[in-house]
Amino acid sequence: MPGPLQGVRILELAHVILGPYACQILADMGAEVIKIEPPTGDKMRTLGAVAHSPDMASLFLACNRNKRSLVLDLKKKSARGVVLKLAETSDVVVHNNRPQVMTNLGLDYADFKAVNPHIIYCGAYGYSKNGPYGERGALDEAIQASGGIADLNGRANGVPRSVPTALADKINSITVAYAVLGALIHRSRTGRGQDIEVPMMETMVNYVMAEHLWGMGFEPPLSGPGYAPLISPKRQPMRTKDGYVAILTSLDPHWKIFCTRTGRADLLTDPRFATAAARVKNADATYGETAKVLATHTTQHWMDMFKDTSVPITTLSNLEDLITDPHLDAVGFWQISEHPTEGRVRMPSFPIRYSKTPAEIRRHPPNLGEHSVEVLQEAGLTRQDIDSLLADGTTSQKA
Amino acid sequence: MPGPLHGIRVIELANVLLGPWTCQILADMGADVIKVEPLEGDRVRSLGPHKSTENMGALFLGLNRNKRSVVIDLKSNNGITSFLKLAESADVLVHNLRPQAMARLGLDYPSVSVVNPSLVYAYACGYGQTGPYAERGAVDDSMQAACGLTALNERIFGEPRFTPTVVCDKTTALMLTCGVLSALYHRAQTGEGQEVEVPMMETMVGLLMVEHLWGQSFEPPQGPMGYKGSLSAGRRPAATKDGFIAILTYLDPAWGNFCKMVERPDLLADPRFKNLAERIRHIDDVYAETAKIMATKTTAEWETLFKGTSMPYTIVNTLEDLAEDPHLKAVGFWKSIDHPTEGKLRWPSFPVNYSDSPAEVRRPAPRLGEHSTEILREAGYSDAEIAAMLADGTTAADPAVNTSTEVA
Repeated sequence: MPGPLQGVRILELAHVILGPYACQILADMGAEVIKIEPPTGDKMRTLGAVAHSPDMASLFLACNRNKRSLVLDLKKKSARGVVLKLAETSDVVVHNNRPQVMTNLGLDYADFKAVNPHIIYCGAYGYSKNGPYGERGALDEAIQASGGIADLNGRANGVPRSVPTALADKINSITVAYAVLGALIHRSRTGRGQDIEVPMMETMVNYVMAEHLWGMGFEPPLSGPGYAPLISPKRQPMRTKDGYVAILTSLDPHWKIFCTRTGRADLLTDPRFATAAARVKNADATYGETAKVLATHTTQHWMDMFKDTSVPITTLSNLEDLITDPHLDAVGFWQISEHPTEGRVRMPSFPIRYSKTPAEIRRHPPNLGEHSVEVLQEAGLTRQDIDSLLADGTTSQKA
Repeated sequence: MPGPLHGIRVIELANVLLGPWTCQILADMGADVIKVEPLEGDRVRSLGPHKSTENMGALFLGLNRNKRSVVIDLKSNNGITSFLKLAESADVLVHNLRPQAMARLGLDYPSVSVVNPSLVYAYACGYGQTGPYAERGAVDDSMQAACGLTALNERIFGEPRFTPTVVCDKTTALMLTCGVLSALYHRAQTGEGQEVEVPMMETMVGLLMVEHLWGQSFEPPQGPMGYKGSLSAGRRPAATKDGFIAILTYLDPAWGNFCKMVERPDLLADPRFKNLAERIRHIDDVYAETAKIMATKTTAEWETLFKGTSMPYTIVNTLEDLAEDPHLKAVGFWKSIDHPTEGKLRWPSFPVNYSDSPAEVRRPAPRLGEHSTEILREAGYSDAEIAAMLADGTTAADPAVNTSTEVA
C-alpha cells in the first residue's frame, strides 16, 4: 500500500531548506514531486559533507529524496511555457521565492490558474506580501531574531541568539506541508484550487506565542509575555553526581511520585508546591528543590528509580549517540541505502506511522537534471522539442 | 467562505500542549473540535495569569480556541459508552495520552474502529510503539535531551541547556497535524480510516538531522556530525553602533551582495570565502568579518542601506516588541475577541493565508463543560438521560453558563 498522497503531483520551484523540506514531507507521503532546478542547481547542493560529487552534499541529500530533478533555466523564455505545460497535469505548485521574483518570471498564481483552474499554489517567504516587510529577503537567522526566538535565548540562556538549528525554516516547512494538505482536502470536497501564502515571520510568532503570549493574551494585559517556567534560567538539565539528566517534576502526578520516592515527602506539604499552578508560580523554587535532590546520586541511580513510573526523565544524547540509540535502532529509524553515484547513504525515516498507507523512501536524492528528459517526455514534448531545449541550454541532463 | 476542514468533526482527548495545539490548528482550519475533558478539566487550565476563574488561565486560552468542551468521566463505564457514542459520528480522534492508558480504557484503535471503521485515529507519543522505550513518559524537557537538542545547546552555551520554548511538543504537534490531514485526504479518496502514530523522538531527530547529520549522511562517514554554520560561537546577532541586527551573509547570493554593499572587494577576492563550501570551512572567519563590519554603523544606517534589497537582515524583536511590530500590525496579525466571561482576549492569527478557504476565529476557548449538554444532545442522548449523567457525575456542565445571571 503506497502513502496517503499517492497520485498527487507537485511542482517544486524551491531551494535551500524551507520549500525543499516541505516538498520532501509531501513526497514521503507518496506524492510525486518534480523538482525544477536552475542549470546551476539548488544552492544547497554544495552545502555539507560530500562523499563523491561536490553537488551532492549532505544538506541537499537531507531535503530532496523521493523527488525527480528537472533542469529549467527560468531566465529563458522557452522555460516558462514548459513549467505551465507541466502545471496542466499537476495538483500543487510550491515555491519559496520572494513574490516579486515569481511575478517577474510570469509564474504567479494567476498564470498557473489560467492553465489549470484547480491548481493549488503555495508560496512561502519571509513576510506576508501585504505588509511593510513584504519585499524583504529572509533566512532562518533573520526570522528567529524577528520572531522572538533570539530574545527567548537571551532571557533563559544569557545570549540573545538563534537556536542552533534552522528552526524557522523547518517549522515553516511543516506549516507549508499542512497548508497544502488542507487545500487538497478542500479541493477534494469542492473541486476548487487556491492561492496560499505561508509567511515565515507570522508562522514563527504564532509558534512562539503558543505558550509565551501568557498575560498578554488578555486586553489589557494581565502581565508581560513569556511563560515564566520556561524562561527561568534555572530550567536546565540537572546535574547528578556524574553527569546530567533532563527531568520535569512539576506536573501532576509526577511531583508526588518524585517527592515520595526520593524521600522528600516534606515537600508535598509545602504550600509553595501544593498544586501544579503553585509550582508554576514558584518555578524557580521547584527547580531548585529538584536540583538539590538530583545532585546526591548518579545518573544511573535516578534512571533506575523512575524506570517503572511515568515521571519524564532521560539522559542527554549527543549527536553521535543518536546514530547508535537502541530505540532508534529497534524501530528501524536509520535507513541506509545505496545511492547510484554517492555510495551508501544514511537517511532518517519519515516520523509519521500510518497503519494503512505507510510512507516510504522510493527514490534516492536526484543528481542535477537526472530526470529532465524523462519528465519532459511525459509532459508530451517531442524528442525534437527536447533536443532544442537541451541545445539552447533551457534544460540539461548529465550524460 | 469557511476553512478547508469545514464539516469535519474532531474528537480531542488531549491535555497540556501537544494534542490541544494540534486540534486548535485543525479547529482554525474550520473543523468542529469537541474537547473531551475529565471532571477536573485539562491540566493546563490553571496555568498562567487568569481573570474570572482559576481554570481559565492564559495558557489554556491560547491553546483551545474554536473548540467546544464536553466533560466525560472516562473512569466510569457510562463515560466510556458515551465517549464511543461521540466517536461514532466523528471523522477524526486525536489523543496524546500514553497508548497503554488508552488500551486500558478500551479506547485503543482496534476498540474504537469497531464503532467507526472510517475514523482517522491519530496520536502523538514519546517514542515509537515498536521500540524498547514505548512505555516511557515524555514531556518537552526530556525529549529535548533525548533528541540531541540539549547537546547542541551545550556547544553554543558551554553547558547543556534547554531551548526556552516547548519545541518538541509544538513541532510534533505540527507533524501530527500533517498526519491527520494526509490520512483525511486518503480517506476522501478511498473511504478508508486508519491509525496514525507520531512519535516525538523520531520527529525531532528527523528535524535536527536535516543539517546536523552532516558527515554521518554517508557510510562510511565523511567527517563529523554537526553543522558548523549554526554551531559557531559567532552565529549570533551582530552588534551595531547602537543595537543589534541579525544578518546571515554566508549564503549565495547574500555574500556577494553584502561585500559589494559594504565596499569590501577584498573579501570577495579572499580565497577563504571564494565559494559556499569554503565559507562553511571558514565559518568563524565569515562571522568575525561580518561582525567587524556591522559594528561600524548604527542600526538605522544599516536599515537604510539594506532596505529594498534581498539582504536577509532584521532587528532583534523582544517578545514585547512583537505586540507593536509595524509589519504584524499592518497585516492584522493580532486578533482580538470578546470572551463572555474573560473579557477581551488577544491572539496571534493563523499563519496560513488561504485565498479560497480562510481560517477564522469563530469562538474563544470554552469554559469547562460549557457545551456538555449541547454535545450529548447532538450525540442522541435525551434530556432525561443527560440529567441522569449530570447527577451521577459522568458529565458536568459549567455553572456559569447555566446561571447566566451570575455572568458579567
